[in-house]
Amino acid sequence: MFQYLIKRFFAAVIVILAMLFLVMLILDVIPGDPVALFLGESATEEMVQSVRVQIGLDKPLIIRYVQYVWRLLQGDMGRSLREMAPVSHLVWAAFPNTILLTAAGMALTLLLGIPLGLLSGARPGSIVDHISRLISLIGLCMPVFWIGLVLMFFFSLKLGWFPVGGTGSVAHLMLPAVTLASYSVASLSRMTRSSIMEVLGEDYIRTARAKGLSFSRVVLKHGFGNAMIPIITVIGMQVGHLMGGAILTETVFAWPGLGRLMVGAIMDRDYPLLQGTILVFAASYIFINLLVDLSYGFIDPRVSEQ
Amino acid sequence: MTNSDQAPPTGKALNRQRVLRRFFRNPLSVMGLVVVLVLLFIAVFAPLVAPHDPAKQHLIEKRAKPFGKYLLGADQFGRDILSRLIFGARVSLTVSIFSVLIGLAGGVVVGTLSGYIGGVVDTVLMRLMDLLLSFPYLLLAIVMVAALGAGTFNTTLAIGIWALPTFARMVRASVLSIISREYITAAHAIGVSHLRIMLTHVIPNFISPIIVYATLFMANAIMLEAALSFLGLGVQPPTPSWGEMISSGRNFLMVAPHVATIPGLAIMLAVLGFNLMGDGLRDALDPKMKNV
Repeated sequence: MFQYLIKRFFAAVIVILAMLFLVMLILDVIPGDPVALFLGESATEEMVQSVRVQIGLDKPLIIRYVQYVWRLLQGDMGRSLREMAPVSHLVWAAFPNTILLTAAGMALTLLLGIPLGLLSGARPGSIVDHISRLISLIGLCMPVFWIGLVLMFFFSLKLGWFPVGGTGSVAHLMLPAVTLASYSVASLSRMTRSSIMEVLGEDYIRTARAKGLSFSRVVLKHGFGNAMIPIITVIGMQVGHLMGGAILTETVFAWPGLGRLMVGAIMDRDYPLLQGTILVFAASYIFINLLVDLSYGFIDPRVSEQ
Repeated sequence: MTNSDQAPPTGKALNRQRVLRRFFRNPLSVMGLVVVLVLLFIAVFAPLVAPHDPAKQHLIEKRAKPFGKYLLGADQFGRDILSRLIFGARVSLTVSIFSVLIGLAGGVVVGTLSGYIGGVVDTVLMRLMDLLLSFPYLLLAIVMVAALGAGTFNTTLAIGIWALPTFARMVRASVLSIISREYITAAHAIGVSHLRIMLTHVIPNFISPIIVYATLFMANAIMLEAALSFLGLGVQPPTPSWGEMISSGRNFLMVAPHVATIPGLAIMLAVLGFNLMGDGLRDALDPKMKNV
């Protein structure tokens, strides 16, 4: 098991390194000189050249890549062009906010998505089923940023229950978390529904009912346990969706996280900062997915035997 | 995704009839189809359908409420929101259709080569696809647009590349199941060239399930285009795009909530239409996949 963990860990590190190279390669094709674009039209040729040397853009891609990785190992991600501060400071200041938002979104997804799916999957065709399917269908079709604005309009501007933006308290977190979770709740409840419906058709469920166990007990103990694997897969997929959605949600609610930092970096053409935010975003996604993969083994021992 | 490696349909004409009958029996799929057709009509005939010029500013009537002179009101420059939505449908559908086509065409090429040739080519191409898939949702498209610059064409390209790896993997799975069949061996035996086998025996046999997924991808592409444009990284003003309309309307959320909220309903309707139609096509083509 330990050996397996080590192997998976290094595989993830290699994916991250390859991804970093791909990102640097893509950013390398920026039409025009990113430094000249950043400095604007008033910059002289010498100014452009000195900044290019300062951030190492005068060297070929492969050298820059090796240097970047080497510095990264020492915790250095270069300096932001705009803020004139180390990228690592900016990123680590924003990252906890994004984690908090994503974790809150995930908590809501699990708390709402699974019960909603169980309720509708246990009694297919019932009124509860129809209502919950309708809710999830609509949830899948609404753009995240639009839900955010609608919630903000009603609950912040009209009712004044929650602050319009920013961070600092649980009240600040409520609307962004609900906004972010909306798509994932819908998606998870659909998967839970179909998964539980499939399991409830199995012979052992009939046996459990026949020996006199109550319906809710059968659904929760026998049904849910066996429906877990596809549900976990969808949860893993939702991590990526929540992180991408966080970029939009942070923009709507002025939430000072990694996504807002990234969008700002693109607007300002702040190349080192952009690279740093992408790296942290992508790397954390890969590691969370690794954790999800490993959790299969704990939930279903048959998986780890393979 | 697994249904793509099931047996290709036989007795084509008969089968198509059966699929169509199953599709039209489901009211939700028909509803989706109707929404999609209406949107396409509106997009194609936008200049004829739109009641006003979408770019014309009437500053006196800025942020006019709905149901006045303008059915859906006016935006912050006094432009008719309904007309902008109609022209926005054109932008949104063009970007989505072309990006899905890029993803589909690229995916068919990569997936077919990978599955048919196998070996090192397969390993390299599939590792590259895995790498593209390991970016969280939205991030890859953002990286692409950050590099290429915002704009309608670059947005289309970015969404297309985002869709490519998923198509490539589905195609590869189908190709692998098809090339082990006897009629492929038979074609080899009578000396048919590789290219000809790929074009006439392999690709036509998996294309219909892939097209169903393309329909479902349309919904994703519309959503992604709106998201990029909302962030200011996609379609640029003054070109009317639904995402950009929401983005510029959010500054007036308190005084004129209709400016930012109405375009969201258009996005929802379009996404719903393609989702319902795609679900319906999938269920009709392969009833075993129902509810998955």
